[in-house]
Amino acid sequence: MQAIYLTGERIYLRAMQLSDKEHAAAWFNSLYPINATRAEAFLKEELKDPYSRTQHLAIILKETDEIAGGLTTSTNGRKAMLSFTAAPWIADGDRLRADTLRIVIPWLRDEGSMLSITIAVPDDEITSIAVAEELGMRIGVRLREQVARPGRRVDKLIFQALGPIWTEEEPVHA
Amino acid sequence: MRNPILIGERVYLRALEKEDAEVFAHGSANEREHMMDRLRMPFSQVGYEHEIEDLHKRQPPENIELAVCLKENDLCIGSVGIFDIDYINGTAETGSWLGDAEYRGKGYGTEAKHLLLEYAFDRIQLHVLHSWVWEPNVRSAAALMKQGYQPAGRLEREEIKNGVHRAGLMFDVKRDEWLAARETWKARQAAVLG
Repeated sequence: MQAIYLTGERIYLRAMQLSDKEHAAAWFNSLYPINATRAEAFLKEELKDPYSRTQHLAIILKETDEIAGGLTTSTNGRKAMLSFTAAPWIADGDRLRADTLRIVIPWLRDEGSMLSITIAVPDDEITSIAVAEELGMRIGVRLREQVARPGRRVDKLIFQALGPIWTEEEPVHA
Repeated sequence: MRNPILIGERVYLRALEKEDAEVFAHGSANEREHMMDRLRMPFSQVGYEHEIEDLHKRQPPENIELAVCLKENDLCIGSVGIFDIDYINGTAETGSWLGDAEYRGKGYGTEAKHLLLEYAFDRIQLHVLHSWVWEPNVRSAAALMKQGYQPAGRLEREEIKNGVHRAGLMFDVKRDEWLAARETWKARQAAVLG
């Protein structure tokens, strides 16, 4: 069930459903293998409260309707922390993250009035970095050598988008 | 000493036991410093007991929290820990807490933290660690720098206090930075003790 307000040029985001258990490697945020049984148990637990502060969204390729990744949003109503994962078979996970940021940051900051939105991006994912900066995000934190790559390590950047400060409105009397 | 994992001069670290929950509950109810966190809260001993039980459920664990105990009488005075351990990338977040103000500012926390860093870097072979400090908590920030941590940045509007948004400060440390800081600390200890 595509969310019309979370639709971009190449991808859209939607709520998770139980049948996604068959494609858990694409959306479950871990490098360790996960099978359908465990994925189903995870989904049943995580989805039972529709108003949970942690929401799991599937990232879908518009062209093929396949699950290409997952996005988890954890909020307390004022701040949102995002966690992204790309399916292991995706050739360009960097671009997928960038496409996701284009949709999600305006949604949370402008529509959702979040004071702060953060997401971690490895320092070598240049497309995501460029889009994050284009969206007005700033590098808040640089954690050195936190990401292991084959034969090398790269820094982890935590980007932060700041939303407008909440102010009180004058009450409207009838 | 009871079930020690790492042993220092005045303190040792061991696995948390269910009865340590009383120390944490007592500490949260008697916390006098209000700038370590946004809000002091008297947490339930029952909740701490569950948390301690959960620590030992998964192998390898996602979080490792160790009791800090005085060698002279085995009294548990707080805890140190590594959290959100990423075994693939070799990273984790560190944290420490001394419950009773009587034991703060006397070097027990620093000694315990150096033991924890030895555990993280030399026993379970992590590559780099990070820690988070709320901006008003200048004492913790200074302690981290003494332990070899380097400033890694800040996240704005992390918490609100007295109507003002305050930032969260991040620090990280690599093994060689910690080793250098520990040598400095040991030399200082030796000079003090003569």
